[in-house]
Amino acid sequence: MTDMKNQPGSDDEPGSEGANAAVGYAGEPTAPAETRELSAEDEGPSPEEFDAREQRFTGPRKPMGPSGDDDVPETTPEETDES
Amino acid sequence: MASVRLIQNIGLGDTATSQRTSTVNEPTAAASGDNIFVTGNWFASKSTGGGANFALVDPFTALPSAAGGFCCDQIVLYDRSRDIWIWLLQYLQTGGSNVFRVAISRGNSFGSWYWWDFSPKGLNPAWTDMWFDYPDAALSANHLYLTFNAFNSADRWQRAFVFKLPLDPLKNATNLGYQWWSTTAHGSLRLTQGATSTMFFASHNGGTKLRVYSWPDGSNTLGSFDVNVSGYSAGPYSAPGPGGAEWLSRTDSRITGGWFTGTRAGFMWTAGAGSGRPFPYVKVAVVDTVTRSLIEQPDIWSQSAAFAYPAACPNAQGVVGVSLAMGGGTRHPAHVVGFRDGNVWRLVITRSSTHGPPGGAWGDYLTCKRHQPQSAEWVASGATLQGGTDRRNVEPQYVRFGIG
Repeated sequence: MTDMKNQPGSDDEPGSEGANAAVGYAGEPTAPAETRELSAEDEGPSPEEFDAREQRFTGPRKPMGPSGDDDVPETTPEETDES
Repeated sequence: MASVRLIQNIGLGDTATSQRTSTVNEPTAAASGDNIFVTGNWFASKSTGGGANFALVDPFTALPSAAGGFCCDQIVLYDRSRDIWIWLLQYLQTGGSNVFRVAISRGNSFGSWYWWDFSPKGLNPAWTDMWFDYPDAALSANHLYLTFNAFNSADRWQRAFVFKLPLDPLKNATNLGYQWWSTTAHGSLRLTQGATSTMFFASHNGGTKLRVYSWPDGSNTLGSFDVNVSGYSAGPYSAPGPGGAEWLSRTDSRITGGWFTGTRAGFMWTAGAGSGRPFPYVKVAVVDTVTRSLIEQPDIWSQSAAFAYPAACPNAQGVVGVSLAMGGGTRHPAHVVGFRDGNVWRLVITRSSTHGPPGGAWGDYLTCKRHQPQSAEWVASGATLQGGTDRRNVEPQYVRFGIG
């Protein structure tokens, strides 16, 4: 993990006055590595694992922002002793 | 009459992807001379022979793993000014957090990468239940800009981020100081391709308002203004093709394309069918960033099929190129490229699918970039299904095109 340090900025919408960005420091990069070019026989997730990913990826899309009904928190009723 | 000239139109087969493909393919592409890099879910592929052959570069193993392992949502860019390749990779969340990686390869050592990782916890130690998703990336004269949404472990939207990374330390592999800003008010911030001294980006701001942000290269202060666009439907989205095969089940109205040329910023998104628009279409808003006013709304639409998932980029002459998907009616999802010619869009289909996706899933984004060094041309990414409905039948498409 890159060593990150930060000075906070503004979390506000800029509006006409503007908003200040935060400043971060990520240090030097991780040492260079030669990327391997792979053939179909090289390791990686199995075809079955990719199939499982496909099932997860093709479901409903996550929200695009803060508005919408899906931002209303889930409501879970408390359990009561019904015995 | 100007026309679209397809210079290269290459489907990436199993050798290039090792069948590590998804119907939610999210392909991206960049080119520098004979070197080409294409990414998608869940592969990367490289050509050093001008596209004659592509070799798989496995994003799971080509670089050391991070967080919960490689996830998805890659982007590749080439920056001509510093002669560097920029490869953005997103990693799976583990324990509520993940990282994104910015990997750099110099042009004279294409394929040898060094990188920086960024996590929400690295920005704010309190953000322990937050992970980055849905990236966008664009260049200005001196910076790489990145945007993300962030979710918690229950997949609830938390905030949107913009990062501004200077290109010189990226090229020189030195200490990286950078700027970032986030908001809880607007999501899915979309950057403009073709920016120079100021990056413009935008989000919807409720109803028919667009919020356009500006971030000068030489400042750590952002500004914004709102413009009103004409009404459009934000769904539902449907355009079944042959046999009733739906391909827009994941579509929403987020902005997926942005460009900047002269003083104008353009933004594009997929709108639902409505009055005078029998199929979902691409809504376009062009804004003058000096007068902060809406200039025109040149929609891309058809009487016979839907358009969706637009991406855009100006060439060096300021002509706006596009890459988008088309389908519905008699047509399975196809990939389309083209450009704005005066008051009309000139489009050509690069390849049509032989089948529709079984679960209605397509997208979530395509790319259109300036070719280098032929900066009057564009490089576009797309995907189609060839010979079946399985994810293995997805073939990413690499397209180099110009004005004929």
